[in-house]
Amino acid sequence: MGKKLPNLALALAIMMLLSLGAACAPSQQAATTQQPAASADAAATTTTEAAAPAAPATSDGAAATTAAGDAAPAATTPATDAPAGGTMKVALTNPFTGAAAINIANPYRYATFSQVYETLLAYQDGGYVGVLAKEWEKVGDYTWKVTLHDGITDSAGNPFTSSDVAFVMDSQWNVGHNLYVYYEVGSVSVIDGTTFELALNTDSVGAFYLIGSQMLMCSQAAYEGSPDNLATMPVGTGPYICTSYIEGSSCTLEKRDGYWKTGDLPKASVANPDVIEISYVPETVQMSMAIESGSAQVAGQVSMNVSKEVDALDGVTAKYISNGTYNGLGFNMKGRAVSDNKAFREAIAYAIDPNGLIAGVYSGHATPMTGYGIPTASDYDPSWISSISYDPEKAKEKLAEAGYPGGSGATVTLLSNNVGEDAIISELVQGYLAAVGITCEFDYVDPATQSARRAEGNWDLALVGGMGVLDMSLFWGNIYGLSGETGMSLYFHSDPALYAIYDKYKAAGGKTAENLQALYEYERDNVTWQPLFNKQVLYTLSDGYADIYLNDGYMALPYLGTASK
Amino acid sequence: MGRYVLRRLLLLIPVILGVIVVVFTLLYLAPGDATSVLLGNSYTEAAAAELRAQLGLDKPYIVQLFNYGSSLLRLDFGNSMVSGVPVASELATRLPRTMIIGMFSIAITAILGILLGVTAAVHQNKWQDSLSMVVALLGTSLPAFFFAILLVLAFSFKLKWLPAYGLGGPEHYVLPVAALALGGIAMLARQTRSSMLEVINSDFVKMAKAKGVRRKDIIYRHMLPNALIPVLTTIGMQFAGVLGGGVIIETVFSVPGIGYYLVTGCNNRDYNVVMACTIIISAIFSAIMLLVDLLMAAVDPRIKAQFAGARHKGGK
Amino acid sequence: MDASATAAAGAPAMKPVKKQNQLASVMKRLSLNKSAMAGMVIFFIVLFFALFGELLAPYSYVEINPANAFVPPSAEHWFGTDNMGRDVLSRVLVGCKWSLFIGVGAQIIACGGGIVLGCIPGFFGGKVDQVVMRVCDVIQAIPSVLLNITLAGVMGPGIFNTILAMGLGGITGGTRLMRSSIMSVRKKEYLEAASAINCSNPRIIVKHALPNAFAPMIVSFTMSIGSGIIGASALTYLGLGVQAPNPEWGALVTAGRDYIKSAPYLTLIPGFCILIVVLSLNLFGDGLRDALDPKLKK
Repeated sequence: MGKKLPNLALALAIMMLLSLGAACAPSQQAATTQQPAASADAAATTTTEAAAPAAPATSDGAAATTAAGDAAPAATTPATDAPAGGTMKVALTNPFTGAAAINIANPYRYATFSQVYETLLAYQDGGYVGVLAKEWEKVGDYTWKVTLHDGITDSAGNPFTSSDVAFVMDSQWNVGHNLYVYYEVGSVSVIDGTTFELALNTDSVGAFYLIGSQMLMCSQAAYEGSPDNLATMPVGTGPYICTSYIEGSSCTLEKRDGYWKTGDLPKASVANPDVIEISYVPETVQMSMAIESGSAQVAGQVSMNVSKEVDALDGVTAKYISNGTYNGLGFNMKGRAVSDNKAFREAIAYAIDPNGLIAGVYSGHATPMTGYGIPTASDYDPSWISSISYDPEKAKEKLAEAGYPGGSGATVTLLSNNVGEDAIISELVQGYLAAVGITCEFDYVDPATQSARRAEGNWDLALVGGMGVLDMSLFWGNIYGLSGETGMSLYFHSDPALYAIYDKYKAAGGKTAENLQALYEYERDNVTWQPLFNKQVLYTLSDGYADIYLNDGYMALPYLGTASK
Repeated sequence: MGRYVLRRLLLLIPVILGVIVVVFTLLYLAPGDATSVLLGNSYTEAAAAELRAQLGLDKPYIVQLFNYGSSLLRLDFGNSMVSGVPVASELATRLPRTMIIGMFSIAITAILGILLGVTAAVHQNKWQDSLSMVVALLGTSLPAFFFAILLVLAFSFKLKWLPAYGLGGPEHYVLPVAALALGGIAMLARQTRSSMLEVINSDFVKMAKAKGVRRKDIIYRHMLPNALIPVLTTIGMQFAGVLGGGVIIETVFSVPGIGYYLVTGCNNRDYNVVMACTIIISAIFSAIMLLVDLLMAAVDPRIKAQFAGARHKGGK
Repeated sequence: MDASATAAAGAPAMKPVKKQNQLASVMKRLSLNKSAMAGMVIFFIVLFFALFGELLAPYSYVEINPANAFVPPSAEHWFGTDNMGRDVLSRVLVGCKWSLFIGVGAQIIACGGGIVLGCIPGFFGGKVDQVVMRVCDVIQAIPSVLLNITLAGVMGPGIFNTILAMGLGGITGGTRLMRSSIMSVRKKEYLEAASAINCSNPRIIVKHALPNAFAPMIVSFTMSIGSGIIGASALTYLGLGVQAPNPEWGALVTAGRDYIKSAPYLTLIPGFCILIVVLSLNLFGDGLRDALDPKLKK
């Protein structure tokens, strides 16, 4: 016995060293274990760039009328002809809490369940098509009239009517929102079983489309009939049902018979694979191993830290999709050194190199913003360029002009999340500011206190970000929208000149080119915030699944059912 | 002995009550609450105040504490403030997974730790001693997630013997258990070694040697039981780390257990979740420590006498 | 230990000589233990780098250079560069002192607090013992994760808070250790002899119990420094712990783990450094324990 023990210990040591060696050895390319590349049929089913409905909002911002409401005939994928079937394995980065449709908005829940529950509309090829909705029309400044399809039923047999829509929208008030645009829902009035009127609090067309395409729908009967309000076993109208949901770990979807929609289907309704197995893999190394070994045929929202690795893999296509958000540096416009000192703000803006940030944080996968807005927004004007770009010498000049020659005395506090990319961006910003002589201190907050700390106002800089893909009013609303209580925006803008312009823009009928231009010019001339970059999302697709539809609308979410083998 | 057991069981109650009050107070004092997470980008003071009133977070400390206490008495752990899902049902699904990983990893830690410690003690200052200690130390020299990643790289990615993540059959638990077990081996090995060394020169061992008892029997039937007391304590204390700290292993292996639930709850200031997890974890931990103490008392008559004696003595 | 009993009861003037002899014999035993000596030497090397690391660093540890990111170890950058183009060698050198600071600081709080808290129940026993032990149970039962997050919330994140959180978590261990040491000392004859000649309680604690408990305490202190460094790494994984750009080794390991397949040196080098420190401290601690306890002499 005494002899065996040292051998055991030796064996353990060898095992550990082996593991260490395994980590260091260069990873071999995964032998393509997947099926041979999809047959010719697959090509036929995919992106025929068929007539997509035009983007609804017109460029002069005039109140848009009906989109091509009968939008269903867009890019067709006759599901019956596709080489459907099989099991597809998907890996998503983060799990979420609760499978209920009525919930805090979460892109991973949406990616998992958008074909179990459905939405009124779906983004497709630059515009919106109807899924549950058949027609929709703007009938007033703030009001939309929507007609649903007939005969919508969910997987439990419950009919889905406009009173269910009203129920879902009203019930959103009982849970947190988190997708701020949901606050724009004013009221829903049911006209009949398939028609209802949606009154918003804004005349932004983009708000309607975002609400219509992001809010997951379920029938009231299913929600109330479920013992836990659908939190663990979703029931919806979509082509897939959920047969297994282990929160935080995995979810299995199976194609169901009896899907109510027939005929030509929009991409959001296509259900090719018979079974979709979704796993949630928060650890980046695990994700990259799953991709390389083929156990994740589709991987979503993969961390950019492994982008170089996945780019180099054979048998895997890496797709980088714009996610429709913007990121910038916001200045606190009240009571701080930067608030009244435009030269100081300019100095800070000149000191930062967005390309450096993109290289350091996203391995090069993001686009630098040159203007105020996101180019895909329907009312964006490409002539809205920011006057400031990376120029450290100019930054030093401006710094002297601001009263801090050589940077002496220039100290700013940067408010930021203490985890994830925000922390890395902050470090880089600190480095850039240090290079011109500005001392940047951090005020790191964890997400639970971030909003409160921002409201306190003891900071100079903050990382700004939000959506803006659809129209500029969502974009500007995020930055300049006033809180009823404090009378100030999130970043404490209070200049009456600004709000004279903004209020004109915000009023019904105010989305004119003239007002938009005035707002842009104010931003450009006053450097109220500095645009930095637009993020992207990384998907990796194994050969054979490269045709899956990844919509580059808000948050770059996939329609998993469009993948064919 | 029976009275001692009963007394210790009753003492569990004030401990758990103490934990409830302390944790509740810590949460109350910590800045931020669930409103920030629930409202996200749409956070305004007005909306937050409204939500707070809705969730009952604006009431004074004593009232909130009392409300929570009375709901506990009704065995109602409440719902998650963020997701609305009843906490008790979440715990019911998550706790078994954490317990399985925890129990098995402690078992492996115990077995390997004791083996290595015995080896080292028996061959004190020879190469087996050094090697065992070094091997054990490897486990404590690097963070757990590091081992987790290395194990996955080796056994799942290269060798393809085991699955890398997720739930399922026993094969899904092997790597998480291994990664978690490595950290505690060193401490246990060292403790075993030193306890064994303390008895190695004692009279009864010398007598056993003189009587010609086989070496193996000397080690395992004479020395080890006497050395076990501090070892048992150490094993008991490992549980604290395993129960609450398994969150990293759970994240790396996508095993949704209590650790991850607790950390997410803390980050969200989801009071109901945090309180429930803490109560469960501390109750289990206290029960385990009680078991360890009882085991020790049963095994070692000296300790039994000590506790019996302490009851009669006043404060000296 | 009988000799010291007579010394305590007898001529106080002999004490210093006795202590001198004790210390000398401990040092002698220690010097005979090769691995302990090796551990000590390695640790002193690490200590040297902790003190002078920042001076020796070839580059600034915060200077970013995104164009120069992910350079593998080369002549220009011995340990390569990280994802922001910062020189890893410089970061490791500067991080040395922070990691030691965290490890040692946490243990000072744990052991110091443990001594204070442990003396009380260890000596007075009875009700006081029960109360303090139950308080320890409560503290120990609270998951350290929660403790850390809440402390970070109440006091703000950062390195001092990390040290405090880990120290508080370790106090219970120190308390139990101190208490059991004292309780075992109480039983020994010489202490009863001392109280027979009316030594006052505090004097008994300080002069007799404390030095006796000192041995396991110092061993535990030495060997727990490593777990403090690892613990800080775990906290960084969860988003607590030290804040950027502090290059504490645990933070480096955590930050580099995503790149373990494309740039493994980012994680492995700081990990190896932690390994060396922990190994050396533990070898030294083992040897120290063997040297301090004459019963273990073979």
